[in-house]
Amino acid sequence: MLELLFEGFINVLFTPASLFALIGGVVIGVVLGSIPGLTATMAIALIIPITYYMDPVQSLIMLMGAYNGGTFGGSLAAILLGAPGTPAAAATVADGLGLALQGKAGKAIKMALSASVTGCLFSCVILILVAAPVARYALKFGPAEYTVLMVFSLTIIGSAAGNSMTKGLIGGVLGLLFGMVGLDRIASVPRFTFGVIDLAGGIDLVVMLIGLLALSEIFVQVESVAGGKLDAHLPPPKNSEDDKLSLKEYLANFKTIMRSAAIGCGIGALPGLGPTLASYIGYDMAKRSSKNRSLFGKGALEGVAAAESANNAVCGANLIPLLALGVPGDAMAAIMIGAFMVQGLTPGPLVFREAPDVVAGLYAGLILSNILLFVFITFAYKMFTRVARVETTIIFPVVFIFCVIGVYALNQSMTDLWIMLLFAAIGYVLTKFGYSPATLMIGFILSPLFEVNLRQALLISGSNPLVFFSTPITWVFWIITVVSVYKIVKSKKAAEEA
Amino acid sequence: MNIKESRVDQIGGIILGIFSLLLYFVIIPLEVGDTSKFGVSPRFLPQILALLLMFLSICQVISGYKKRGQEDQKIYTINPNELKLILKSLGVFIIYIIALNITGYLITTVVALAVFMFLYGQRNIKRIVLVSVGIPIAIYLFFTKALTMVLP
Repeated sequence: MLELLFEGFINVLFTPASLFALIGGVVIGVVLGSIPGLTATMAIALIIPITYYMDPVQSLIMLMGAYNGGTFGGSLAAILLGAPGTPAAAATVADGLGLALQGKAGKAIKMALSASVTGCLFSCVILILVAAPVARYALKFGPAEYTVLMVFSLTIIGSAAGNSMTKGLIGGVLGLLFGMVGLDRIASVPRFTFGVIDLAGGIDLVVMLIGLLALSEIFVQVESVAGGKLDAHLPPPKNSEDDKLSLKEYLANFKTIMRSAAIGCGIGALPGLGPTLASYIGYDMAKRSSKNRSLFGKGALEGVAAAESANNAVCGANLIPLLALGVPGDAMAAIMIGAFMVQGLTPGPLVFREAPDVVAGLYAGLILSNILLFVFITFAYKMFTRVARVETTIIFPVVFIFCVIGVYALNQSMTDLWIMLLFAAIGYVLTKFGYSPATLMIGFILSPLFEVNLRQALLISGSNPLVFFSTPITWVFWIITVVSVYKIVKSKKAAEEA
Repeated sequence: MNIKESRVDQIGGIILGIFSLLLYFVIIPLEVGDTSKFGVSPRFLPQILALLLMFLSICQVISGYKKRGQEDQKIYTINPNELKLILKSLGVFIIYIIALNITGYLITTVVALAVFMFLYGQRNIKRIVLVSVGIPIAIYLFFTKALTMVLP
């Protein structure tokens, strides 16, 4: 395998067309990912027609470069505008923008970059070493195991609830309810569609995120305009240190980065979960084990590192089920299956025998895309941070327009724009009165995964609730959940006493 | 206008309580199809969540009631000027979305950007013209030419 991997590196680095494909993929991914509304998945969907004219390795590395670049690109908008460029960057918003508002946008971007690259490289190593065994283990996950995993994931709501657990839980319940809008995934009957045909497919996560996080945040910030604040959108760095990330700072967060990378790998290897969930779990775990817990949500470098390492670690890890089993882990992986098929290849166990050079090239391309991403952003980040120096009277209206066009471009639907506006209003009211939009979002993301698996498990078991305690994996997740709830309650009590 | 946390909790709890009752007794029966062909009914989880919401809203009202006399409770401020600006922004936003379908992307966006900038205090005409014309054209070219998407 190592020999093939070496050949893969040589092939990518010394074939100009391959190198251009990789650079093009990364740059397109970063640019599209940094525009709120345009996701990394959309970036690779838009690149697919170009790849028809390329050989398999060039085609796949361009797509992987775009996916990796797009996943990172989302954090640029999250840090500089407070609007997640992609859903995966939603967990980065609070701390990224918090740091940017302290004049540390450059430091936040560099931490996001270092954590993303480390997370993705770690997942590449895992992908190369354990693709097949991990995928075989992931196959043992049935609906019952997924349901208990989702129950564990729901404990994030308690952790993200802020000062009031009741308000946080209310946000989570509302999020779970919003996630049920559309055709029921099992019985195919409409739920909460109110006769609107466009709602049959449910509420798009991106539409909701942009409304709830980006637009509502601008409404909150617009208040400062009313207060007569007309200076730059973000303050300049107070000193040169604010714009740099020292090796000491990186190493201080290394443990967090590696923990998140491991979480991202685990989530990425399980089909259907995706980078958004990974970033929230990574962030939550970092918050729980941090000594500076109170800084989280206000500008913690550790928070940015945790979220970014976890979401980019998914990039490599979701190739594990794709390559080893032919099972797409998320929408991006499904598009990758299409890209394989365009090249006459079928992802799955046979691809290792039929086209080992393509697999090796893909591994090499993914690793090189991280190096390219690092070099590109290191040189180009100042261009992005210029956004920070633009006046609020310009930046707010421009972000408004970007949100509208980005959301419209998703499905070319005017209904999406009204839904975005509705969530902007909800987000504004929640933020204004101390409720947590983050818990609403977590509930929304987990809702379909939780409900479908719960009902499938009950359907298979003849409505026997003991199915959720039927395997060792479910027991492991129950134990983790109980420990997690205990820790949350303990930390909330400690915070109240303090 | 200042509102005490206890008041916010009580009012918020009552609104959510009414909403959860509506959800359980009106919205779910009307808006969620019922079938038990596939094991658990599609109404099962929404009903549980409605009950949970009801419970949480009661908790919030009680929490607000307990905080009534406390002096260190949080104060939420609503400034009339801020509220006016947000309502104006919302108004422009709604008109912009409606107009998008009628006058198309380019003209509507140029006008909307100029109005937003003016609303937020930008008085430099050169900047208003430059940004409100330049940005929509750049976005238009990027979406329609580079991404081959159709804008309204």
